[in-house]
Amino acid sequence: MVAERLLIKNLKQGKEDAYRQLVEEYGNKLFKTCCLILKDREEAEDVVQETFIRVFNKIDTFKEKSGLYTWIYAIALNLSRDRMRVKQDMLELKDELIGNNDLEAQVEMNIDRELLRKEIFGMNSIYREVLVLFYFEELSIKEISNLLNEKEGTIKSKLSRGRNILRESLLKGGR
Amino acid sequence: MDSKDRLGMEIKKIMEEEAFDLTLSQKTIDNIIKHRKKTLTEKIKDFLNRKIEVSLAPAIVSVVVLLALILIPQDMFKSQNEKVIYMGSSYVIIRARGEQQ
Repeated sequence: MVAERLLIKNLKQGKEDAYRQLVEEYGNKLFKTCCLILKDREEAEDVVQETFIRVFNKIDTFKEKSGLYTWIYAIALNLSRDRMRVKQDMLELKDELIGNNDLEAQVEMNIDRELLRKEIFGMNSIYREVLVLFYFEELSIKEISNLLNEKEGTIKSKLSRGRNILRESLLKGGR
Repeated sequence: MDSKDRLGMEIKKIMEEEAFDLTLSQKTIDNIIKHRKKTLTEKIKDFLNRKIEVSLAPAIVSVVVLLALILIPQDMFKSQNEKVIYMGSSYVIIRARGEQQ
């Protein structure tokens, strides 16, 4: 926390070392998450670059109410969502069906990893985004809800729907 | 929501495999650093190192005027035949023609 405060102070003073430290510490992590969400390396790189430029421009207005990484993440996710909207890869969330335990048990028995991989990266990004944050970033529902500025119920619903889509695809052996 | 069930663990593994060797290119890192906020010293240096284009004619005129202001004595156009007498808060100027103020 002290180190982060010092980093923020140095960023506000425009010290080059602080900027390098920020990019080294968070750049690749952010890039990986954006790649998983956007499924496009170049686009993810653009988003990360734009995110840091925004962070640099707005660092003076950062009030430290949230952690620095959370703030950076929120900017990156907003930018990713803008890109997904342009690609029309984001559908409106419908009323979701919640997990079916029988279905889950059947899937748990036998998971075709290659099929699962294909389904994860083929599914709508509205669900993949939450799956990435929950499973890859290991964020809690509450943290994801804060980051995406959505209700916890909505996040749970998206997560559940995302898992169901994957389960059903696994059962059917692919779409 | 359980992240430790089999499906969850498989999702996590797949995502980790996909992201394993992903790193930002040096070009992107350089581009990012290029946009950083500058220190006051750098801002001053940038300001001083700016290229300024000035057309020749106004530049010459300005230099001539400046030199004239520096080199020509301030009292050159003052009348040599006048005398000022200070009297408390007022003063009297006596010129050769005899005008008073």
